[in-house]
Amino acid sequence: MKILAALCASALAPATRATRQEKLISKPVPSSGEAMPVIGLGSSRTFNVGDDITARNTCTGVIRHFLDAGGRMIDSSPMYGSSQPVIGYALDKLGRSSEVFSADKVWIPAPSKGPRQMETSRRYWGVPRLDLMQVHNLVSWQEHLETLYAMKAAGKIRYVGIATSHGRRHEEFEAVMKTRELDFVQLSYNLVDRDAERRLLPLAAERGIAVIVNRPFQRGDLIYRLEEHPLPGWAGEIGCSNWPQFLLKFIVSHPAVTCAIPATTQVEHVKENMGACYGALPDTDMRSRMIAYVTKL
Amino acid sequence: MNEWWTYDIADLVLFTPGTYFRLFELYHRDWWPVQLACLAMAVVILLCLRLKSDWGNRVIAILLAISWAWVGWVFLHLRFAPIHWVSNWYAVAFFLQALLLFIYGVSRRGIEFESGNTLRARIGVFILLGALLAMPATALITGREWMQTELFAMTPDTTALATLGLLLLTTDRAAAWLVVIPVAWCFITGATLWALEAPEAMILPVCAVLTIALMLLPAKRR
Repeated sequence: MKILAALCASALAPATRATRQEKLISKPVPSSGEAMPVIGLGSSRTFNVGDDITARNTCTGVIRHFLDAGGRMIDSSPMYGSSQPVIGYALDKLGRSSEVFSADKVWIPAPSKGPRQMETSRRYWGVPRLDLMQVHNLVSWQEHLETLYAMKAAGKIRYVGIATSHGRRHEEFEAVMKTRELDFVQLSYNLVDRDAERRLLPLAAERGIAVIVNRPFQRGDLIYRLEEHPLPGWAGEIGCSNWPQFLLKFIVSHPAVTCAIPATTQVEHVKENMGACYGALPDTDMRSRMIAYVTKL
Repeated sequence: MNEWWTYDIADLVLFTPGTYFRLFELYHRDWWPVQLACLAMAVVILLCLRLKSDWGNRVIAILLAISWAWVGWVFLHLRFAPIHWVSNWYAVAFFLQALLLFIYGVSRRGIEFESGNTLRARIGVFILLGALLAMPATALITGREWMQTELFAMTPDTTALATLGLLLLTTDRAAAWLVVIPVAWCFITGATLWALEAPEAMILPVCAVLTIALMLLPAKRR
């Protein structure tokens, strides 16, 4: 009987893992239909650890658990110090660079220096090509976008986007979204900072642009504030067992949002975050309930 | 870049407190036993202050110049810049300060680190001793590893603070020029530590304000 049970267990194990992978929540990139898991990984601050081997190996552990949980998109920028080389170190050590959706940015005022910066970024990542290249904070965006369109046409990148954070230059951001062909936009949006809901998110949906959400936890401040309060009992209805999942599910349940990219230095946190990739997503009524609950706190 | 005004301090400090303070730990490990030479330099500076001689003043200026150049190259450029690209510009400023200290220090007139028993001089000595003796204890007091300590001639904050203390001891016109970069550094490091929520964030900015106030006071009231 025990042998039979063991056989059943071993036979079921891969199926259970497969079932869990099937249930991973993904959304399509509108311009291509490519499925993207709704939780990605940011690298601002957290992966900027320089040559510190101990810290680099910790980051490698974070990326390994992120990929193991079905994650794909990792986002970085030349602005983030040593984050790109650290990501490249981790991917090389894990031998898993082909599993990653690499999202990076061009961030340099001189447009002529853009291609060299992007090539340097690619070499840091150690990938044959970067999947998504975004113009960071709209720096010299007119010229950089022309370069990115040419790179996409030549097959050097797969997607073109623009990125901002903390509500920076939203009016200009909106104008670019209206007038240029974009695959992705990246912006800040979370349960207490919902400015993007007014114009940018509806515009992205209307124009068929994928949306990456940064600063989902307001650099951790939002979690620190909320952790003083109990998670509502009904959070279990949408598969949330902690505040990070609660916040992330709110973000990725917006119809226009493709994925959120929380950043972390801790394996336990990445496990928590990736939990938001599974289970039910809140519907409109539940989203309103989530806003009301947090507003009351 | 025309959008700098849209960034706040936290946007520009793109590393965690853990990474920043571990930087000091790895730096001290890599350069041991240079710390002993730095300690010796601090002792020599204090002895030269006691001697009150022209050559002693020149030695002080030269040792300060060496300290600024070392911190600029080894700490700011080689160690800090990989995680904070603007640190290369800080390094340039530290080299400039080293150059100014050397030029003024070895010039025929030199810098006279002696201004009598004035309030300004007493506060100068207080700041100098604070930089040499109290600042290294900050890491332990704030609950960090002792290897993450700040040391004169090894790390920028103590070097800048000690320089401010010494410049308060001189009434030479040169001091007005030599104080600019250390004061600027005090505000930069204060902003960085504030963004990292470090409890000692206000120490250097307060000392910088005090230094400026004392330098602006009319000579008779100093």
